[in-house]
Amino acid sequence: MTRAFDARHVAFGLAALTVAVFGTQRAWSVSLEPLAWTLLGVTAGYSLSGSV
Amino acid sequence: MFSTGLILGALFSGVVVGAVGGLVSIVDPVVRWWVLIPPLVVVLAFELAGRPLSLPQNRRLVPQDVIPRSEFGGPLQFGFEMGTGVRTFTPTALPHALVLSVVLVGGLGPGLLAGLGFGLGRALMPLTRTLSGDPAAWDTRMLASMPWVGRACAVAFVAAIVMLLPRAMLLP
Repeated sequence: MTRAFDARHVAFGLAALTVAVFGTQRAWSVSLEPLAWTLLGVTAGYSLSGSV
Repeated sequence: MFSTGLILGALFSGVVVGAVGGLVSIVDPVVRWWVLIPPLVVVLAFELAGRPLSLPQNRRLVPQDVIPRSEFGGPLQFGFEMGTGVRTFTPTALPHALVLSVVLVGGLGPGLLAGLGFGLGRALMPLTRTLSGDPAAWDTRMLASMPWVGRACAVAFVAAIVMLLPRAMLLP
């Protein structure tokens, strides 16, 4: 059984992606607001993974 | 159809919350940000500590008998109601923080985007569970690691909200 693909790893990947997008915005001084709003929603939605 | 329902339901909630945010937009943006920051700090501090705040919620699930009512309509309705974020349990307070953010510093456009993201985030769980190849073991591991899922989501939430802060409020 593989342990490389569970909810915790998906959440960590999501956090890493968001921090990378944040870093990109700061480094290149570009506005990634639409992406930020979408990621805000994704993280809030995924945080409900324990519920049905 | 279930995932489509999740996304449509979340988009519906996003439009409603975003419309309320449009009404609040008459207040100065800096004031709105300073109203938003204190409750966000409290909510996110508890999330990062692995002890999410228990905020008001509906605590009612969509009845399971909705699904077999029709081949497409049943799963779509189930997903839609669940996707709104109203007919479900919320083990974390991040959805509350999202609603507060859209109302205070968002609006209709951000509400739509946040709703789309919320639906995608909700759909990500059943998708990854299915792709894991062993859904039962996936459930067991998920329940054991929920505090870390919450913490990682809170980190992502912080990074995303900082991206939205007006430049004048950020340190140079």
